[in-house]
Amino acid sequence: MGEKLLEVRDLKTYFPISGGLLGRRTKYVRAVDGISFDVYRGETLGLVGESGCGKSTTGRTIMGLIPPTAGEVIFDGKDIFSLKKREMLETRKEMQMIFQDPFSSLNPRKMVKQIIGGAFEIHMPHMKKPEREREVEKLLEIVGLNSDYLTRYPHEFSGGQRQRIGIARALALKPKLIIADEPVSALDVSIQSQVLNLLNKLQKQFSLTYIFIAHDLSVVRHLSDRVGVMYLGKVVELADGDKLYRRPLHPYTKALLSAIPIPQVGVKRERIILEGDVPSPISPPYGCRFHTRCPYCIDICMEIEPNFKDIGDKHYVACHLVKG
Amino acid sequence: MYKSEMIKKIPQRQPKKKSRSNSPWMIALRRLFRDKTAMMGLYIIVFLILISVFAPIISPYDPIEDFNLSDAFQGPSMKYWFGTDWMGRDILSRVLYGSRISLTIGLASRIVTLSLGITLGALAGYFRGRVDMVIMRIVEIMDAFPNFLFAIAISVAIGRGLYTVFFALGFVGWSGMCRLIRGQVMAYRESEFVEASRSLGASNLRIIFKEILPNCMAPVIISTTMGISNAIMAEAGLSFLGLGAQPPTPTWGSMMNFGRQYIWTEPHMVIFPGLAIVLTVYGFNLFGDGLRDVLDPRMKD
Ligand SMILES: Nc1ncnc2c1ncn2[C@@H]1O[C@H](COP(=O)(O)OP(=O)(O)O)[C@@H](O)[C@H]1O
Ligand SMILES: [Mg+2]
Repeated sequence: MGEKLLEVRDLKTYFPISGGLLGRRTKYVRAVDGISFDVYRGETLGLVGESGCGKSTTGRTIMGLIPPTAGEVIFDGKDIFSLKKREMLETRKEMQMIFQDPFSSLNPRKMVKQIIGGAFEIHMPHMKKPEREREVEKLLEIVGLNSDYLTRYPHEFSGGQRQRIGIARALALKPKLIIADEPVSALDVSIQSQVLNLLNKLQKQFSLTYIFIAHDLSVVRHLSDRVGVMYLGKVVELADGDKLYRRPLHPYTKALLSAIPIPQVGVKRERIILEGDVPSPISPPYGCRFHTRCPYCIDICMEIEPNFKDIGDKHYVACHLVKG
Repeated sequence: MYKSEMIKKIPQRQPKKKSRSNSPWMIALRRLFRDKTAMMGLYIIVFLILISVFAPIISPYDPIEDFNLSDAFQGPSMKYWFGTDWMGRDILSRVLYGSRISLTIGLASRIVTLSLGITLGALAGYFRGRVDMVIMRIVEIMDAFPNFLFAIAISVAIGRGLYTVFFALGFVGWSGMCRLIRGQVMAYRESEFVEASRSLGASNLRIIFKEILPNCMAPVIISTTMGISNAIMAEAGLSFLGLGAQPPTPTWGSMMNFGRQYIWTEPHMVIFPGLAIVLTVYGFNLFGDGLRDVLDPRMKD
């Protein structure tokens, strides 16, 4: 494993919501509630979990799009929450995001050259228009689109093409880290693999580091070196992809895995069907957050929150039943 | 439903030429030209604009200088198509010239409304928090007064005259525009394309002006068109109360104001300026309705 590009330490992001008739006592949606992980240069870290578990919020907080409640994020040696505005502007160039919705992620009033070229307008204000357009053409070719599309508007493209435009925009400033927030979940299955292949190719071509967010394990499988599983604002298990798929330790990971078809013949897997709904992130369950739905729940799970511990070989898991 | 299906079929039949602009605005414009209501409104508006531009050429008399007391209070005739007023001035000429005042007021007051409404609405919607609270309190106070009474109060406070009317009528409209822009900006500031722009390092100003506001223009255009007709009507109302442009300036409202006392004997003094107001308001409302049909069902295609 290479060196660390990103370190996330005890990150918390709460959204205040005013509650109560008197409106004074504020409640919080604890979207991200104390997570830690590292991302190494050149790898892909998959982040998986059901909808609403805080994956996007994690990505957006790292990007500096929403303010953190607590914790720190160290990117390339810099604590990004303590950066000054100018420094943040420079660091911004090195981290970019690919968004989930190919429709709302492109401004419908802008031409492709404005959408992708915006990055140059902001960071290289002296760049002349023809030069900017040439850069945009190059980027279009890189993501596999016709360079004639410069003056087209988003509504003229299919979902897959729009997602490619979004990828080109993210690449414009030659970032080191790309956070891809469910980049294919809104696309037709037939298009998904094309976009995933493109992301794969770009990673090699530009030695990119990815945080790849998905809501089920099957998509991240082929792409991720390591996979983190999130549940209700927490990372419950984090390990090498192979290890996690072959020997999942957390009951929640097992449940997620048992929901996808077994790729290899002869591999047996416990079938776990989760009961009940995900509890509210406004008042998460006491103790282990998963205990309300866990088939193996014991007394301690309802009282004490399990530590997120390394049980060897950088396999992290937060469960009382797993002995480290 | 039915209508939009029909519209969708049309472009498919045409051979796709490269020169056809694909911008969302051009698509809306092409749709606008196919909309009968909007075009009817547009014809009326263009007609009024032509009249106001060429008023000196097409008016048979001067609206102020050509008075002839011996011709006072004449009904419509070959000499005076719309009759004459108490000073013997030609009502047709005064109605034609009056279009200048009405249109100018309609447009000039929108400048006040738009600049105040867009600026404050964008600030409130984008920065929220305390900025939003202060601006919205002011808006609520504004909305607590009936608009017309407020315009009267402003006119009385800063004195009569044309510029007062521009300002008063623009000022009463900004709170509505402010609400509209604020709502739109609040919705768009959460959108992914704004987040993308912020990730690239865009400043707040850039995000407001280059990302968000271009997306809010459709409702702004619709409400501005409707606002013009409201302002024209309100100007007539102010002039009718003697608060608008002062005599002898020919405005439709003041012509009705002075004609009012003779309404039983010389109804033409009220009817013709009244018809002019109705036609103008009708034109702008038609155009506004058409714009709404064309712009509102969000611009996908
Ligand atoms: N801006 C916000 N304000 C309030 N609550 C939010 C906001 N954004 C997300 N949330 C809440 O935070 C939780 C996590 O959301 P999110 O990070 O989008 O989940 P995911 O991406 O895993 O589906 C959800 O319960 C969601 O409702
Ligand atoms: Mg999400």
